[in-house]
Amino acid sequence: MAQLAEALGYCLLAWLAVLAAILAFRMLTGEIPLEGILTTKGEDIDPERLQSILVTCFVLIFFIIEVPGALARRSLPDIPQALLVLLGGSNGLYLGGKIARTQGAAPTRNRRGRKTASRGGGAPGKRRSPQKPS
Amino acid sequence: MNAPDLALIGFVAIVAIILAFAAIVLWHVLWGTIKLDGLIAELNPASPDDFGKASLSRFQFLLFTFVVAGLFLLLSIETGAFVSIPGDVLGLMGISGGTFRRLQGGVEPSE
Repeated sequence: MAQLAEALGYCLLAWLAVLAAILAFRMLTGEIPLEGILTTKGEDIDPERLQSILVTCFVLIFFIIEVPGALARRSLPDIPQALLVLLGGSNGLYLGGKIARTQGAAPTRNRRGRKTASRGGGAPGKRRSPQKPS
Repeated sequence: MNAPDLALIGFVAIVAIILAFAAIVLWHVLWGTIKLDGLIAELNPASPDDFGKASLSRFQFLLFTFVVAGLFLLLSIETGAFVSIPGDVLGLMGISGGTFRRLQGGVEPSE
């Protein structure tokens, strides 16, 4: 039964590898489009996206390099805390850049909204209230 | 028929079912019945058929998923038992998935 379980494991590993190969092939042929992965609106490359890709590759390479040591510990490789912070910071930067670029198209509406809200939001009532006779 | 034989037959049946599911999914992916065009695309809720540009967070999540799942399977086969998953790896997946989820819920895709 142990041999059967090992055979099942290898079959599932082969299945995962074939699936990854299909995805990689379709990305290469353009059936799964990769265009726009480094840009927000199809213009120049965004630096925050470029750094996010680089940090992702760095983390993955580090993770794979650590595999031989992890085999002896019977565990997936440990990731240093600094690398997690680096990945979190990188993703935070990417997220911030994305929010700034996508919502930067309509700042005037927000400003007008705030101004109108501050004028109309109960301000007249507050102005009249100090005029009570003492 | 004794108990070990029954267990072996049950195990073979379960293995066959799992592998049949895996083969069916792979077959449909291979011949395009299961479409993967929008796998890493930013979906537009206004027009779900229009996939738009590729999403970096989806791509990152896909890479981490494949690497972690592949290594987990490989190490489990090598050691002969399920290997433990450190909290750091879960944190890694959490950071990546959290970014993906935040972009899904918070930022509308660009036009």
